[in-house]
Amino acid sequence: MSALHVSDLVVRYGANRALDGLSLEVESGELRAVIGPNGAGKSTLFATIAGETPASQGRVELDGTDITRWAPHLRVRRGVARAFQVSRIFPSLTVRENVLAAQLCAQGGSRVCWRTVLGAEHARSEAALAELGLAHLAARRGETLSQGDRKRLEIAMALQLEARLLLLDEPTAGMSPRETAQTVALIRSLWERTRITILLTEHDMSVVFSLAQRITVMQRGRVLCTGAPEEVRGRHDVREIYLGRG
Amino acid sequence: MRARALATLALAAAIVAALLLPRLASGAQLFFWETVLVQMLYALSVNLLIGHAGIPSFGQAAFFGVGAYAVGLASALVPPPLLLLAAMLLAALLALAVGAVALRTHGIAFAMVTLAVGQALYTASLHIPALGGDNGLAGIDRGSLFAIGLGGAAAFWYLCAACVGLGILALWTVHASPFGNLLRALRDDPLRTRFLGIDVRAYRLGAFVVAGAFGGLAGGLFAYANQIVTPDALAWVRSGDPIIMALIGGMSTFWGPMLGAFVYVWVTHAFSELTPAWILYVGIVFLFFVIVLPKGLLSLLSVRRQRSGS
Repeated sequence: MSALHVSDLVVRYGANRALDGLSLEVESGELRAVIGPNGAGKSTLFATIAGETPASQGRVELDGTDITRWAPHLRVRRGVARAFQVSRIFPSLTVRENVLAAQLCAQGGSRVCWRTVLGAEHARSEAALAELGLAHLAARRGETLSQGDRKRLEIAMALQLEARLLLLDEPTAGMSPRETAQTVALIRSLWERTRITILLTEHDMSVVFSLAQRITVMQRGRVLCTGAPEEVRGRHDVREIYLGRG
Repeated sequence: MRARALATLALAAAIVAALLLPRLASGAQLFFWETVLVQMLYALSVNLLIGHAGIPSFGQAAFFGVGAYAVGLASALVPPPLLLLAAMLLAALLALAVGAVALRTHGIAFAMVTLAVGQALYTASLHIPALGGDNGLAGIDRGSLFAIGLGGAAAFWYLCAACVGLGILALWTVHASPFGNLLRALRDDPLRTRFLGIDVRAYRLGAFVVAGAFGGLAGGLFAYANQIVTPDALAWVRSGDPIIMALIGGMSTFWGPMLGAFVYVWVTHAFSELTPAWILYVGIVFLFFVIVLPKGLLSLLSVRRQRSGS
């Protein structure tokens, strides 16, 4: 069964069509990468799936439910979690508090958010911090973290939401080669353990080809092709528009 | 632990001072302290919006004025505690209606919508005969409570202090609640808060209604204290005053606006007795705080604490 089904999606900005009748199907438990040159519409696609940008036309379905007109917070409650290209965490809170805040928000907003935290919740947040290699930073304030650690913290927060679909927008942007390798290993181990459906965009092709089960190539707001990494790598048209000749 | 002991001590001192003040102070001095208390409550309510929820409202005088006029219109008919509750409810309903529309905008556009609502009510108050026009409504009856007349300075002082005390307690409860924490979260990063599954607009509307209700209570007490309400209660300057108070004391803290309200009322009182150009000097004092102490007077305490800790 498909976890995400996008059909004939159009997003207009004035006369421009950022998405121009795009259709996409992502299987449950799949790790899919979306690539394409700048301006292909990747960020608009993510923003539309998350509910940040309204669709001018078309449908977005999550596990068979039409969520096209749903507000972002309702999509989150339905299981859509998002990590941003420029990571968004609460800078004045500690790493531990950021994870706890996400965990408690997922349980019902203000009724429980930042109430007295239960032992089980502490244990769960500590386990998440350990899994993401953030345990030694638990008491540090978010604003003092490196870009790589911020991204990992954001993924930890997204995972607290018990998401069914995780949208990762450029998860290794701004990272050093060492941080990139760590993050790739982290995403792979998370995916192998949880089998959560992941949709990611990434400019670093080594990250894309080492992580993705399947790759969707976008061009001018449409899907050019979808296939296994070797298949996409071998396509002449993809090499021409995106990877370069040769 | 030490902070809790200090807070308990400060609370006990405040209660003792409130009980003793009518025995020690003249009528004029009591009126000064009533003004301080009312402005403290008003500044706290506005700071819940601007300082904690990050909602830049420039029209809080609308709710302050509605509370004041509610008391002005019905003081002869309804006893004070009930009328103050009604003033709060009326202001809250107005805030709900205004907020439901205004919160569809953001930033400066939102500030302008709230300013426009405040100015519309101010203009209406000048032209509605039942509100007394320019002259407003004079001779507000303070009535009585449990057969005790509230016309005397001491009796009204106790009512005013009790209402403000309960108001501060209620606003502190909101501040320290999960709701208050969420307001600060969405001030820091509304997008991240939304993508944790939180309905940002609903929480902002909640903050707007709470701030409106307590603005209405402050307005109602203001009308009782002055025994007159004029369109000045709805004027745009009245929306700016609590923002200045919060800035002077410190917007990022709960207690800062209370300290700022005391300083502001004291400075305006002192300068207005010295010179007709007192507004100029109040402006200079305000500039001093914005430039030298942008985080307010209470930031001095945290700097001192950090120094003694290092």
